[in-house]
Amino acid sequence: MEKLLEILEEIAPGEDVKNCTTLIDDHILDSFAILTLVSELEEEFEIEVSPAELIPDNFNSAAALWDMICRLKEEG
Amino acid sequence: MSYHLLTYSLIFLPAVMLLYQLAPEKYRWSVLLAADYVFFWMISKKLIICLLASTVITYVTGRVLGFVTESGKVKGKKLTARKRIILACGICLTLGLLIVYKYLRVFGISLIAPIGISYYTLQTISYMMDVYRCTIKAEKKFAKTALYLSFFPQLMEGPISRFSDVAEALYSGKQIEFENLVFGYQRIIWGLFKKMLIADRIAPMVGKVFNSYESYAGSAIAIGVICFTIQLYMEFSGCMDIVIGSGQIFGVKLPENFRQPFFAKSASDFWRRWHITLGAWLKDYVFYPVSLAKPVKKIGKKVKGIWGINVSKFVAPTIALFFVWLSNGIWHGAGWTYLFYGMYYFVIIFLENILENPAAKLMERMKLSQEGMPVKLLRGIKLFFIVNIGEMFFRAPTLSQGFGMLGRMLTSFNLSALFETNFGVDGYDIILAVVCFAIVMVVDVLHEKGISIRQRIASQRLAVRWGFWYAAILCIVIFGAYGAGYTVVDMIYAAY
Repeated sequence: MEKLLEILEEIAPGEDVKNCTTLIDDHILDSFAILTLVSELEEEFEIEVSPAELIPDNFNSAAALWDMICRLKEEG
Repeated sequence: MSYHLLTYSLIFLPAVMLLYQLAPEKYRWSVLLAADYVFFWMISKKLIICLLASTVITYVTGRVLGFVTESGKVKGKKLTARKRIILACGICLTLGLLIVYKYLRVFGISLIAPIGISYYTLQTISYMMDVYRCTIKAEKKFAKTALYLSFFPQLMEGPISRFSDVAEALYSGKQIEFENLVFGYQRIIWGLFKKMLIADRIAPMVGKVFNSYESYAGSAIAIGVICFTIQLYMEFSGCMDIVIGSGQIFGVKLPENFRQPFFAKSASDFWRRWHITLGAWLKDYVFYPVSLAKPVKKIGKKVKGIWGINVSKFVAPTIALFFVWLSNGIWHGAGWTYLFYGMYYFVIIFLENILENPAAKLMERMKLSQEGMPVKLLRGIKLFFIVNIGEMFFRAPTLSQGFGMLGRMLTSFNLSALFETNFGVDGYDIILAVVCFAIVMVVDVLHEKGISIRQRIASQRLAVRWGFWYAAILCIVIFGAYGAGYTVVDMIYAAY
C-alpha cells in the first residue's frame, strides 16, 4: 500500500491521495494520469490492467486501487 | 417529426405520456417501445429495418457472450479468445450497416441513411463491449434491448447513453411524477428558447456567409463563423434540453451532453464540456483500449529505453489520441472537412499535452498565476480562436472553401466593410438573437457557479413560478423564428 501511495503522490502532487475518495469524480486523475498510473502499477506489482478495469469504482481512492491490485494479483 | 416542432412537445409527447400513465406498471416499458418505433417510422419510414437489424445483432451478440461466459465450458485464455471472436463479429456487423449507409458515398454510392444511425450504433457497440467486459449482464428480453437502443427522445441526436445508466429506469415503469413532469417541460421550453430564438434566427446569416464567402470581406466571414459556433451550441444544446427534459418526464435520467463549454480552460477541457457523451464513449472504447494494447505498450517500453520516462509517458496516450480524433472526425461524416476537423484537434490537444509542463514552468518563472486575469484572458482568446477556426472547417462545404475563408480573413479583413454588409437578416433578428444569447450566457455563468435556476424558481411563490414560465412560453410564441418569412431549420446534429 505504501508503494501505491508513493506512486499516487508522484502522479497527483499536493493532493490528499491517502484519504481522497473522488480521484476520478473530481478530475484529480485525468485520462493521461490514469494511463501513467496503470503503467506504473503494471511495472511495480507485475499485474496486467485491462481496459475493463478502467472504471471510476477502481480508481476513485487508494483503497479501491489497492483492492484492484490484490484481485489482479490473485487472478495471476 | 422532430424534437423542436410543436407537434412533438404538444401532441406526440403528451399522447405517449397519457398511454404510459394509463398502462399497468409492468407494461409501461412496452408503451415506450411502441412509441419509439412509431417515432422512428415517422422519421425514417422503411429504414426502420436497419434499426431492427442492429437490435437483432446486438441482442444475439450479447446473449451469446453471456452464455459463453456463464456456461463455464471454456475458461482462461480460450474463453477470452472465443469472446473476442463473438464481439468482433457483432461489432463488424453493426459497424458494417453504418459504413454501408454513411460512408459508401466515398465510392460514389449514395444511400439515404436512417436518422440516428451514428448514435444508436455507438450504443450497440458500448452494450456489446460492456457485456464482453462483464460490467453488465446481457439483457434476456429482446424487446427490452430494443427499448434501450431506440428510446425515442434520444434517437435522433443522442446523448449516447450506457445500458448501466438508463436500463433500470427505462424498464421500471414508474408512474409520471408531477415534479418530473414540470421540470421536464421547463427544460423543453428552455431548449425551444435556444433553438427558436437564437439558432434559427441566425441560421440564414450563417448559410449565406458559408455558401458564398467570396462575396464577403474577411471581417464579415469572421462574424459568420462566430455566428455558426453560436448557432451550433444553441441548437445542439437546445435539442439536448428537449431530449433530457423528455426523458425526465418518464423518470429516465439521460446523461448531460454540455457543461458550459465556453468556460473551458483548454481545448481538451472544451471537449470535456462539449458533446460530452461522444467524448466519454471514445475515451472508454477507443482511447483506453488502444493505450493498453500490447503493441502500443511495446512501443512505449522501447521509447522509455531510448529517451526515458519523460518522453515515453506521452507515447501510448498520443497514439490513442490519434485514433480517438480520427474516429471523432470520421464519425461526423465521410467528408475531408470532418477528417481535417479531427486531425486539427488531435494536433492541438497533442501540443497542449506536451507543452503543459514547460508552460507551467515558464509562468512560474514570470511569476504569473494560473488564475490571474492576464492568463485567464490569454487562455480565453486562444480558445476562442481554436474553437471558431475548428467550427469553420467543420461547417465549410469543402476543405478548399474552408482554407479560402481563412485566407480571406487573413488577407482582406476590411473591418469597415462589415457595416455595409448584407447578411440577409434584419436588425430585429440580430438584436433579438444577441439579447437571448446574453440570457443564455448569464444562465451558463450561474450553472458554472453551481446554481440551479429551476430549483430557485421552484422555491418561489406560485404566482412568481407560473408567471415566469408563462412569460417564457409567450416569449417563444411571440419571438420564436417560425411562420411567414421563416423556413423550419432542420437540426444540424441529426444529420450525423
